[in-house]
Amino acid sequence: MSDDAELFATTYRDPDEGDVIELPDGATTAVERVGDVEIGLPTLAVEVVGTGERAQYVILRNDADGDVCIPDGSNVLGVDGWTDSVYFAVPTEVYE
Amino acid sequence: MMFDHDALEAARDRLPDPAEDRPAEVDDALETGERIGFGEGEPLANVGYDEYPDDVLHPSAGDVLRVVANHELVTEHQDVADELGTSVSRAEKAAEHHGVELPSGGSFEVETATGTIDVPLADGPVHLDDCTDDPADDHRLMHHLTVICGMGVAEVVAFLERAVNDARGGDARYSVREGDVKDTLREMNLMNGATTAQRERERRRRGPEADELNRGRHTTTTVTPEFFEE
Repeated sequence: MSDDAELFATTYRDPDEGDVIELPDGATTAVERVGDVEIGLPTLAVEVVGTGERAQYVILRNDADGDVCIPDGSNVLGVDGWTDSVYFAVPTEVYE
Repeated sequence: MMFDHDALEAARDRLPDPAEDRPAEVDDALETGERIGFGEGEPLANVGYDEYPDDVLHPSAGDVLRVVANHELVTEHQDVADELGTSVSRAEKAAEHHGVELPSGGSFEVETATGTIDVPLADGPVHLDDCTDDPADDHRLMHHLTVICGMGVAEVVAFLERAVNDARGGDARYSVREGDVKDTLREMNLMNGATTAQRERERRRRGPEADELNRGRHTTTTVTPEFFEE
């Protein structure tokens, strides 16, 4: 009998605010820009990796300068240095 | 009536301010009421515009979104977006997350242009065709609004913009500045001071030299090292 946990690793490319994504509990996340800098703003990419139980979240964004208030239960995904934005994910159940 | 000396004198004394005593019908006409559009008229939700959500996608925005979506004036997704000051796609996403049903957009009521404005204390509606191209230039209308109705300049601007836009059916957006209304009132000798056109004519007549002299910046002071020696 194996105790191995299932690894969930994915990259959400070019997500819009309000899009629903899956996140494992306790996931490690990063926000990056990928693509050719020469042809404009590279594409936003949200990288997610974790082994916990997965749940659905809504992606939201806020300006990164100053104090940023995010709803309880949110997961901070990372900061996008290209647009000075902080991306975070709110559990869909918060809306219900 | 156009040359009621006492009424003209009273208007001249108070403009650009409104009259303190005037018929309630005028105040009623200036009431904006509930209108679709962020910051336009009274808000459709049960809170002030300053309490509207900054981001409709935020979990806390559900209550306001629900009230706006269920308001009787709101008939389509665009109305919800306009009232909340956001885009249609954002409002639709927010509605999905908050479990709010947006109006189906099934209303075929088309905003029609009446071409007339209802002016308080008038015998009947005023036809825009009977006014100058810019109603704010129309001396008869301005006389009625300021002298007869007792409106102040800011009230005339608010009244005209709303009434003319309603009369035109919403397509060609009409807006007017307080300075334009004041110019008309100066032409009518209801306010003191030169109109913008008169000031411009005077400036051209005196030429650029007069402008420079008026600025008083022709004095030059030269400070030499000797100045600091005792």
